[in-house]
Amino acid sequence: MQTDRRIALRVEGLSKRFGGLAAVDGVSFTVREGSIKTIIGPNGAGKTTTFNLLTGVDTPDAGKVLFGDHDISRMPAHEICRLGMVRTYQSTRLFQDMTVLQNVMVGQHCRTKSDFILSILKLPSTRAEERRIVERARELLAYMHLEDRANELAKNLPYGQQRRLEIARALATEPKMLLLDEPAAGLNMSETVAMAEEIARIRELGVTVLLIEHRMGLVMDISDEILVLQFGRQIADGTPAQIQANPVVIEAYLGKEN
Amino acid sequence: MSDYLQFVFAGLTMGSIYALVALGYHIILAATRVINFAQGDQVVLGGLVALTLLTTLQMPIWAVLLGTVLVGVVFGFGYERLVFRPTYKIGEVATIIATIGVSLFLFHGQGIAWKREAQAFPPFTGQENEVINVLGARLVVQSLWVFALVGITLALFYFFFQRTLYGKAIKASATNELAAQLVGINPNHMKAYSVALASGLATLAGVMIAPFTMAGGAIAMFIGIKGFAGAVVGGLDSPVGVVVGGLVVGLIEAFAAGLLASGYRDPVVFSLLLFMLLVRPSGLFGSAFRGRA
Amino acid sequence: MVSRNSFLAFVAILLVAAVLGLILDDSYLLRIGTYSAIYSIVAIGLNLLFGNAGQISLGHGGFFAIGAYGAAVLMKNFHLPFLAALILSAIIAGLVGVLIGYIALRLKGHYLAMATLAFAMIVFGLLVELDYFGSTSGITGIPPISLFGHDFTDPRGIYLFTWGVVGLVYLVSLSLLSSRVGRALMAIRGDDLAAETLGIDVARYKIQVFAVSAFFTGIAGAIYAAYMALINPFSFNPELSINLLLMVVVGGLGSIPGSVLGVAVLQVLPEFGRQWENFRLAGYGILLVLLVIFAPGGIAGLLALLFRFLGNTFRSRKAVPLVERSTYADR
Repeated sequence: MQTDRRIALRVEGLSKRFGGLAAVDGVSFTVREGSIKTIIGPNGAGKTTTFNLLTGVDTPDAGKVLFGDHDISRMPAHEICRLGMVRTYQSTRLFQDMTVLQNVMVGQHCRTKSDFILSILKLPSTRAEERRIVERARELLAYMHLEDRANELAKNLPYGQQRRLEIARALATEPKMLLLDEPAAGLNMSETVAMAEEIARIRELGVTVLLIEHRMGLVMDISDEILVLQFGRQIADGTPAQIQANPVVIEAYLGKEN
Repeated sequence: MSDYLQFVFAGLTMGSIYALVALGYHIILAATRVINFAQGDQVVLGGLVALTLLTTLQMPIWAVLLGTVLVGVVFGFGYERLVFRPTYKIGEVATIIATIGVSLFLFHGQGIAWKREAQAFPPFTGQENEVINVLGARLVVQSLWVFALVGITLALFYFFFQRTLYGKAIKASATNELAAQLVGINPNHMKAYSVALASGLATLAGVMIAPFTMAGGAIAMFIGIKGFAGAVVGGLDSPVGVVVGGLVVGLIEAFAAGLLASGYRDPVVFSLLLFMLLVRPSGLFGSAFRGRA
Repeated sequence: MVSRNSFLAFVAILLVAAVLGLILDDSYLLRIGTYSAIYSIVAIGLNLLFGNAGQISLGHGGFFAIGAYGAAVLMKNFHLPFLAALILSAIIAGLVGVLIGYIALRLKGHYLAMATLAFAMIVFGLLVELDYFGSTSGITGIPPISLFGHDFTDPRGIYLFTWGVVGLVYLVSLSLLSSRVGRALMAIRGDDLAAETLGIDVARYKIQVFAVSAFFTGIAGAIYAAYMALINPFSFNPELSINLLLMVVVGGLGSIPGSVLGVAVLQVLPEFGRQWENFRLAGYGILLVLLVIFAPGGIAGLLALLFRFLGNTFRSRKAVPLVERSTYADR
């Protein structure tokens, strides 16, 4: 039963104002370990801002974010990543002038430790670590079907592969929870189906997934739970069936789609 | 007391120049999202062009002023088309390096077209260093010219940007390029006008201070960075702010030179710049600071 | 690890420098060579900061001056031997680098460029003003380069010593860039927000890379002071900072061999016609504009293209993957 699973993320009363506008207003929800939860809502509903607040890119004005046992409400972004929460972005933020392999190797940064001095001296332990980094990166590339592009510059990849690379890089951080911001944006039908399969596979790895998406078909297919935001506030939170039947949601959002 | 008044006069004079330079930075930044590194060199260019118009072509001072501004504007159009536009798509760093290149080009080109050393430039009216007495302090007559001309220029700019269609179009394009395109405004043209206007401002500033600082020489970088300091102090995204900031920097510089030693005027202003960038990068009147992420 | 091609480039450059140093007898040419070495050290440091970590600096003249004046004062006023003065003044430069790095945390692009330029101009202004540093006359009678009691006074010895230091700095940089830290720096250049959310402590790395870059530049400054025996503020004017940037960009941003080549080219070019100096310098300005638009890889980029072209022409079409052991796109 779903209620047996532990809570991976607990958000309480999250709020953020920009100037006079409340981008996120008292949002509260939980995400169960190993599940896939999707945040939906019209543009400007506060979805990406929520992601920014969760991952430390922005600081909330009020509210709490509890990730496992840690209060990450005001933690710096790189520490949140170290704790196991990583995100991708709406428009790909790859390291364009680095190779595909290098991008994924960078992902392992927070799980490795050679600093300036060790890196310069290249002691055996550092070299061993480096070999492991390369191996692990190749594994992840193979997992995302990108292994034959390993030495290409990231900027030369077609868009669909760039999106997959971003996910591979995120997985390299060995996350407990992966936040995907519109992973299917700009993908065609078959690529979207493939993306849905990737996300399902990621769940099988034991990673909790929180996503923002607009493609209703994808959302309804893979989500265990859906959170609906509008004007910075949550208006519904439940299973796909519950959301589809929710009159408030239908009026606010779904009614305009299909 | 009269000493302090003296500092005020000197400070407001240079400050007016910095205000023009700062306004130039603001206009180009708003339009192209880039700081024009050659701004200071363009100021010096103005002084040198004016010198040629005045001494070689023997033109009267009003014609010299107009001619110099015209040269600045034409240069600005060429500058935008040949340097800015090709680099928009490449990235901000590319545009920065390109404007640094133009700065280098102007700085050393000065030695080709004119002379490396600074040359004397007569004040617009009257004798060299002619002063009038105001409350016991000496006010150089040229300063009055500076105040008057800068005042008129700022008024013209205010009118242009607030009241005319062209000015509003430039502002619109700077605020939201996509929306501007949707109403038929060509953003590239607006950028060109912006750079041209800012270049005209720079060359005008150059003529006005030439009697004080001589034409040419090696002051380009100093004027450029002090004008930038003024813009930062006032707030880079506020047109009023940058003008006020320029005046403030001029005053601070004058007081630093007067109260400490004159050699400290530069370190004081530059330290102020660093301080502002660290502590309040949006300046006194600015809002969003986009120098981050 | 360090890629095979990168290591070959390193060996090639150092070999050429060493051979030139042993063959050349003309002290004038050796002097040009020594200047090239000194500025190469700075360029490698600046390239690390700007080319690889993406932090633009128009202030390296300031670090160079700190290294030079620091060593001069430490040797003359405090009677420290050269090596100790070198290390200490480089550390001082590095510490100032930490301060500038801290300032750089909040700034990007042109704001950072202006801030670093302001820093260089502050250093320059203070050196001109303060009597402790000799004001406009500077400091004279600086002891020469010396190691373990042996003074280097012959041009060849100084040349070889300085290029030895280049080799060391080059090697350290190569090692750094082909490591986890190097990748983190390049990631910061690529997209520092993404780097931060991937677990890289961007602030710490920015400060550290500024410090290292300033440290290398300080080393060069100390060598410069001992080499010149006298220094005045005008060797460290704001123009120097711009020229250093020019050398790195011309050489190729992000390429260590490019930095060395860029410096060499810009040191040698003036020899071909002193009367055209203004044209040449103005031409550099145009060159910068043309480079960013048409040849962003600089000299190194063009050479890499050339080698690739030649390699494809001479090798059989069965392309052997260049990257069996190396893990990096060849620069």
